[in-house]
Amino acid sequence: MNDELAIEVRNLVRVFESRKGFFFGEKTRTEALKGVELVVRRGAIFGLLGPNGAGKTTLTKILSTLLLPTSGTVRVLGRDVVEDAPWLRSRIGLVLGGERGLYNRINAYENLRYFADLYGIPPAERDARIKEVLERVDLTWAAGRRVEEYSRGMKQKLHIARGILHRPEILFLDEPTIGLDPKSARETRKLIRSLVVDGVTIFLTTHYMFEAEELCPRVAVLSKGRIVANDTMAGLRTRVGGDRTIEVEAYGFEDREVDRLRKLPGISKVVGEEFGPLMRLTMRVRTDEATPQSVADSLPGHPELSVRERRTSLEDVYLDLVEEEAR
Amino acid sequence: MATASVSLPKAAYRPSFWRAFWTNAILAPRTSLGFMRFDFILGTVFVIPLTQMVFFAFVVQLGNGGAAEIAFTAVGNAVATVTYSSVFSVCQTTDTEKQQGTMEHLLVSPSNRMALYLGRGVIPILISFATVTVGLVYAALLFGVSIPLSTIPGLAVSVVLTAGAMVGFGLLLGGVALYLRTSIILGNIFLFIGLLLSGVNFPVSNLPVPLQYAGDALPLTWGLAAIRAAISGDSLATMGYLWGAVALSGIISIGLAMGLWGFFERRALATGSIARF
Amino acid sequence: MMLPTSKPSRGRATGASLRLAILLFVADPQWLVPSTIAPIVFGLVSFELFRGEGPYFLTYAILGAGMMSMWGQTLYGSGWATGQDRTLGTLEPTIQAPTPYLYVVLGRIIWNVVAGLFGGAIVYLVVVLAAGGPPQLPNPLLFLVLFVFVMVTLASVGVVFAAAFVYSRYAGFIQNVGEFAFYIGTGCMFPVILLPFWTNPIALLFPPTWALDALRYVSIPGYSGFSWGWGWDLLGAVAVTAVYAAIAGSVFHRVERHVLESGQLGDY
Repeated sequence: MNDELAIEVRNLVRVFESRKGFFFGEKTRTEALKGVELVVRRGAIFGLLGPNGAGKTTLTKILSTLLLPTSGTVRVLGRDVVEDAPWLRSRIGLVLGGERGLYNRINAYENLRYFADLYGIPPAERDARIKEVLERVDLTWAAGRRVEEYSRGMKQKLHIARGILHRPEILFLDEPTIGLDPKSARETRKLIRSLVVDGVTIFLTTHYMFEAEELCPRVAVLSKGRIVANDTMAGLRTRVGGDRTIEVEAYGFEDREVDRLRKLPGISKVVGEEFGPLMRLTMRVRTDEATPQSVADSLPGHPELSVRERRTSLEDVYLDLVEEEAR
Repeated sequence: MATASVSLPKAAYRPSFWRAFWTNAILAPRTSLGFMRFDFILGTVFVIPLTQMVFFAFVVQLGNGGAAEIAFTAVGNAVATVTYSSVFSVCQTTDTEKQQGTMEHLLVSPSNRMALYLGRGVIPILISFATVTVGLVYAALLFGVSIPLSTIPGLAVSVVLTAGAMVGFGLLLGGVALYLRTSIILGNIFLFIGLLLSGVNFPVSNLPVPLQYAGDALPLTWGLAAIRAAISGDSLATMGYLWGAVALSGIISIGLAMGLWGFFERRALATGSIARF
Repeated sequence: MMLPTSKPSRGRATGASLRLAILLFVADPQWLVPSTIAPIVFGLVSFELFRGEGPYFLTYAILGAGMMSMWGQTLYGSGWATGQDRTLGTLEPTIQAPTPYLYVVLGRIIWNVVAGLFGGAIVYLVVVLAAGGPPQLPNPLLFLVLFVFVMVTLASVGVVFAAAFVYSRYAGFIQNVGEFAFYIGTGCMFPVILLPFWTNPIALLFPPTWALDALRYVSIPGYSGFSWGWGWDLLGAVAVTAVYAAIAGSVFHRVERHVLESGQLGDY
């Protein structure tokens, strides 16, 4: 047992089975997680990316004791998530977000008070703590309103408030800024950073690449139930061919031109996209041999050609990894 | 200043009444929690009637009722259990749409509202018919109710009309449920009221006169009367009158349902309760 | 830096759940309507059906209808609340809290017992009004004590029934299907001894069967229920209730384990 690790997952498999049909004759079996392995150090912010249906929420629920693994070992804060679930539940917070998960007919304060009591926050401290978390998520002004009157973003904030109410040691956030306006989203990211300063470990899933880049020194990419990458940002960029990308746009490229680009020194990958009559080719640059000029020189006959170079973003990395796994 | 008339482009698609009707007939029961599972249908059609009939038969027996009273209550409860498959299930589709968040999408569509709502009654009518039929078989086999073969045609007509009328009543309550948070309350209220006012366990004539009139407003009262008359082999004139009454109660229920769905839809949209549950 | 953790308390969780049940009822009191109508209907129907029973028919009517009304509220109200948790999506965060869900259910049971007593009171009023006078009770104090005990036995069954709603989102339907079977099997409206003898052992598995038989013995002179009399009925009720209380924790643990394995906790 390694005390420095907040999360330790070894060969995790999760299979869902169900029966469908009028007479339940049709059995379906879905392997949502296929041998997942990852570790997260205490006090870190760790990001988990993946396309829809990759298994992110399944993994998050297993880590937060809401789902049992089919096989494999999962330890959170050094304890097994199956055998030590009661011990862990006092120490972990979970924010699933969304429109559901709150008692709509009562107000935010009463929702938080109920969960404060379930978590055993001392009565002397409870009200002050509720007030504190409501202030932290900027919901004090709406605390007395029924949750059914809340906007989507307000509900999201209330979910976060509930997640941090009992001062968890590790917080699982499933797309925490979804539905939030830019100001609220920024404040939420600021809150997440402040929690890390307080010593809380953060496990975050998100679709917003800039958010993962901004918050997470280390990210894993989950695709079709497998971890396809788990590295720092710099490491991921290197994996997909460098931290530079060149894009060219013109009204149509021929196959032989694309082949020529693929064989150009320093280019590791060429991907095409169409935008109506316009076509864009995106190239990962592996070495300094490839420059915007060398690319332009290899595409004569396109007077309208536009070429630009930029830094490879996390979105580029993510798309490359996910498409690689799809193949 | 005269405005030039503008020719607006037609929508890409136009809704069809019958498509909306049949789509709702087939899909709506499946959207409601497990409605189209065979074990649900088994329970609704075969188990609920039997247990309710046994329960009240024993109650009557304890109250010193004889074979005639037991047979009376057996037929009454065999028919009364139709409330589950007609009223409850139709109301429940409204609740399910709200809980799943699909109600708003349904109402923003251009589908004809009548098609939308009436379609939802098709499968419940079939299941209601089956429920009453099985209940009457139990009544004949287990509770000493004599149902001569010659009465079957009249009985079949009575059962079909009763199933239809009760589903119509369910549609009426479903419209109110559009405005309320939940329809289960309405279903429960009329389940209980039916037990008291519709002549299920004792003749309607045992009730005070004002309550008898109240019972006349319920389709179950007329349906049960028609079924009892059919079993007794009453004359065609009597049957015709009762069939007319059941059909009329069903038509009134459906007519009110159409009006009330529209009214409560507007109220729900005005108050924002369309998505509340 | 380690942060302080709270200490969950089972008693507090039960209290919080009771408080929440009251808040939700006050926020949406429309359930008052069927909760009032049902006992009125049960009271009048049983009054009519028991007319021929004899001088103590009023007591039979009140006990029978009252039980149906209270049992409905107590047994099924808590399960329904868990079903609502599924619909609202609050079952997951509640299970995820450190307090065992059993203690949350207990809070709801307490509320539903209170609500059930309300229904019982309405039945009493309705039947007394219909009859033009109250029933004759040989021993009102003992009746009251046993009456409360019947509610306790109901609550013990209600807790275990509520587990079904954690187990499956279809539990509400199973409850509807089994409702009258349960009323029959536990002697809600009529003594179990009227049923075929082979059903009696099954009926005795439920605490309310014993408690209600005892209640009838002390309130209806000449009543003939189980041959061992109300004293043994009471002991039997205590014993079987204790068994239910003892297994409730285990039942909930197993049920929770099942839904966490199957991944159906969030289904509704």
